[in-house]
Amino acid sequence: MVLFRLNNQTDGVRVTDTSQSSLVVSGLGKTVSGSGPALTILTGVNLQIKAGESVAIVGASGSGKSTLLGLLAGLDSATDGEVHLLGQPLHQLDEDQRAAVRAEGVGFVFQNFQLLGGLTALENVMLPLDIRQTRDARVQAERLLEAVGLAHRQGHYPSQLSGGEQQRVALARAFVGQPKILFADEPTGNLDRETGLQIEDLLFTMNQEQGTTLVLVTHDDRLAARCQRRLVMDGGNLREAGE
Amino acid sequence: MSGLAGVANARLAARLLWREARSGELTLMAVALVLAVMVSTAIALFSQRLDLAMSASAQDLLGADLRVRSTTPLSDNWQVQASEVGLEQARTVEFPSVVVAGERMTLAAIKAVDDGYPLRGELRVRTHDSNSDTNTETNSALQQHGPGLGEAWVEPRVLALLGVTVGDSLSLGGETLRLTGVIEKESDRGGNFYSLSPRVMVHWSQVQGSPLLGPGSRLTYRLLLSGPEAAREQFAEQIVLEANQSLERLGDGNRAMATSLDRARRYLGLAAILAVVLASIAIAITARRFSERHYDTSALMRTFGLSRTQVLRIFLWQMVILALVSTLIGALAALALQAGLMQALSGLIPEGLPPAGWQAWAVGLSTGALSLFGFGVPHLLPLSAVSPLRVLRRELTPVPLHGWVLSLLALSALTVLLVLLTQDVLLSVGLMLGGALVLLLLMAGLQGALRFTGRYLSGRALPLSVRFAWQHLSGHRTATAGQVLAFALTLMVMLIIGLLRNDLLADWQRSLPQDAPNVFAINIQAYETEAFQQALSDRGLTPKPLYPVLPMRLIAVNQVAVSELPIADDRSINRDLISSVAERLPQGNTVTAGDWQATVEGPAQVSVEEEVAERLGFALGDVLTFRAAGQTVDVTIGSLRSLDWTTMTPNFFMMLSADVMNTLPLNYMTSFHLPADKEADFVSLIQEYPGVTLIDTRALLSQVQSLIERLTLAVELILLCVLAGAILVMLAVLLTTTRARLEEGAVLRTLGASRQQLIRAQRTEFVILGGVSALLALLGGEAVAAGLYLGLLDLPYRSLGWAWLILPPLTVLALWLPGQWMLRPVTRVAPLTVLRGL
Repeated sequence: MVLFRLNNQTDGVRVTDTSQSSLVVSGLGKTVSGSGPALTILTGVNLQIKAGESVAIVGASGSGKSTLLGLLAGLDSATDGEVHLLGQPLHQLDEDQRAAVRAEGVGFVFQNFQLLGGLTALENVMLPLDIRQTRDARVQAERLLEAVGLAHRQGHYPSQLSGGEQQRVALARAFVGQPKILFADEPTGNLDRETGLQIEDLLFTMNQEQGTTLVLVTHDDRLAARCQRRLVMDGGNLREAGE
Repeated sequence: MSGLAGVANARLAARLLWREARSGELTLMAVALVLAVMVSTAIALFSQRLDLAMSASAQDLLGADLRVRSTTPLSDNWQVQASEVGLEQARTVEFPSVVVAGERMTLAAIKAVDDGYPLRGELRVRTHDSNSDTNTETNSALQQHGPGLGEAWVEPRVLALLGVTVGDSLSLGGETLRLTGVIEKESDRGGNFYSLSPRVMVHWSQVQGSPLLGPGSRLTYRLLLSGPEAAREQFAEQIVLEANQSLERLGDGNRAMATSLDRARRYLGLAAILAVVLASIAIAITARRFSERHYDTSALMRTFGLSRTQVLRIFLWQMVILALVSTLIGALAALALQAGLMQALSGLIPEGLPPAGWQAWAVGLSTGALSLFGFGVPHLLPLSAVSPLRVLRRELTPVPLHGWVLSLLALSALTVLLVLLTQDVLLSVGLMLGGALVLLLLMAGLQGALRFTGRYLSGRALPLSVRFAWQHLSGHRTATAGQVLAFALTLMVMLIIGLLRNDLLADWQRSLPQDAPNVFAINIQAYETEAFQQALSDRGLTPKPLYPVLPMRLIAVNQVAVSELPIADDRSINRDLISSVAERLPQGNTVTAGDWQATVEGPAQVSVEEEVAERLGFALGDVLTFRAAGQTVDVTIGSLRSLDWTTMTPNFFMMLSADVMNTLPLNYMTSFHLPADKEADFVSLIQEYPGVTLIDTRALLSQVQSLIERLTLAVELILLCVLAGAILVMLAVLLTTTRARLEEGAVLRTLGASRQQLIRAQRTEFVILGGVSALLALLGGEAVAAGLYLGLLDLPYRSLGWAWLILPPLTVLALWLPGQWMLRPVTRVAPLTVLRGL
């Protein structure tokens, strides 16, 4: 059974069965218009990712990887095409509705961590639960911080933590809401090799434990190789590695 | 060559400035500059126009080159002496009296002038043109003489108060006068601050021999003289003056007015400075952000080959252009604000003030430069120290000026501003030190409270919006404390002003018993006391007891002339004190020291009101020498009394034993309650007893009320500018945190927070900031109100009431609307855009 289909033609086969898919994308395009001529960043991207799958998106700088990730997660709106995230048609939702989808089942890990400087490690981890107004946010957050080995640093602010520690807090924050899908943008890009490896291990361990779908953008071939699938972004088009 | 380079720099600066025009900090900086220039220029213009009116037209204000002032009729000898030395002369007499037209009446400031008036200055009157067929045609002209016999000229206010027009009849002291002119300008009107009643001018002969000038009337006679200085000096040396008479020279005529105007001007100036300081702080904050945002630009310029000086010049040129444009706009706005102040104070300040000179413009306009270069530019200096290497290593940041250098520069600029605006070095330095100390203490208190609250809240489960709001406020503790202080102080002053204007006087009036006397009758002659009381009874009015009275002037204490004592300038010394006979203790009086009975029995005893005694340093047993009705009397202080001024019955500072008083020509006074439906009886009473002066306190109070309204309006205009300054500071702080807020907003939205949640967090922040400020203002206002009600007026304390409901939401709204506008990108920009830019 074909669980996903990928091609660059907008008139390609549309996948109708989304029940087992975390993410279904068809004909996705993004064009930005400034004062000069319009610039096409993505064109006709089709993609299907099934639940629990881990997918790496690789490509050269400026190939549109991060833009694609943002569109898949509903952080920005596309110019063309459709995105069904966790069964929700993002292209039909407004920003707040997309935010509700993210709050419910999406986790994020960023290259530069994106921890809030004014909050302690624990408060940063509690954030997704606070947004959802979960009752035992503190207990859950403490449990996750313990899982990433930072129980003893929970009262510290990001500026008091090393890069690796900050990314571990970010991982705890990403997994605390038990997301169905996790988007990671160069999660080890700002870390040295050894720390990067530790974070990678943690990421894949937690991913497997929670059965989360993982979509990550990376330059790092070794990291990409640990994923079940590799997709290559090239000139605004997406193709399966080796295709 | 360098000139050409300068032009090129200026051009490049202008181009860069234009491109930056839409960036938040430049707009904010420009608005702050406009505010500072507007407020200070308006105050400088206003002050200088008043000064010019005071000094340049001293002759106009005196109405003469020299005046003799007396509370008793002018000596004929003086006129002879003045003629002998060749001085021109005119006579005037002023007194309060009631003017009636039909059923309506008003207390007026009567001025009777002889044919020599006006001697100096301007008397501009709109008169009825007798050649015209219609009654409405009038023309305005400078007059060479006063009204003729049987005529009256009045201020426009009288027309409204009495419902009359030119051509109608008025009644004064039993005589009927025809209203033939409306006074538009009377340059020797005197301190309008103190003469609340409207002017009615009549001919000198109209009142001579009239009971209006009876011995108990509060009369001020003046002999106006003009001529060469030598002649004036000769005259001044020749004449012999009594204690109740004095010479008024150029500059004297307006001293009282000048003092009160000077005080008013200084208060307005101080409030204005507060607005300028707040605007300057906003400039400092935005300049700092502007500087930090341009480190990269500066590094790039250096790599393109510009020298440090050239880079600095380009940025300085931008500031110069910004200052010029803002100053221009601020100057135009100042004209409007100054006109608003003049409008608010019309009737209280002299009409037709001369235009301000260049000095006032210079003071006002230099504010822009001072604020910008004292507070803003120091933050730009590090821009010249940016290393070109920064293009490769972004962490290379120039070292900013030391905190103390910045503070010193700002303080210097502030001191210069203060001196310029208050024109008083001592006051300025005192204010800088005293004000800074008080503000620092308050700031420290607020910061402590913030820290304490932070500690209390830490670790507690708070809703997300509250947590973020608190985090923002406590993250910039100094800025938050400063903002709360600025808002709270301004709002508190506004509350107190509102209280003064609307409630205080009304509450006091309401607190009086229903039948409290509201009319004082003075100048009742001994022979008509019974008839007058009968006249009151006939009209169903109940008089309070009659008191024999006499104006007396204190001339010596323990045989030492008051002019040689340190109390010489006290307000009780240089005026007639209405004194009475110690017979029975008046209602509301309590003896606090000595023996009242001994004072009653005499011989030659006096009972003194205790506050006056304390102020003048009198003790029991001191001998006071008074001058009254041409005689000198010595009396010993036998007792002290406290008074209750709220009884609305006659009260006296001095009560002398009968053995002394009965040798003097006394007249009588009393008070009574006039119900609202007895106005007609009041009019007939005035007509029947033209010599008795009836003072309607309701009219007086409404005049006081109107004075307060005008003054408070002027102050409020300036306070609104202060509030604007405080809001600018808040916006500047918001601007500097925009980047952090954008980042935070993007992360929160990525994690699934809705825009509503973010807006709620922002709103919570403004609710806390505005709510706490309003709360502090209300608490402070309540404390001051309590002081006024309980301490000053002895009234039951009344809470600010409605203000508790209105002020907090209004304050929150006033902060939230501009704040939300400033932070709108946080909720509008797509999270991805923000995250990628970080």
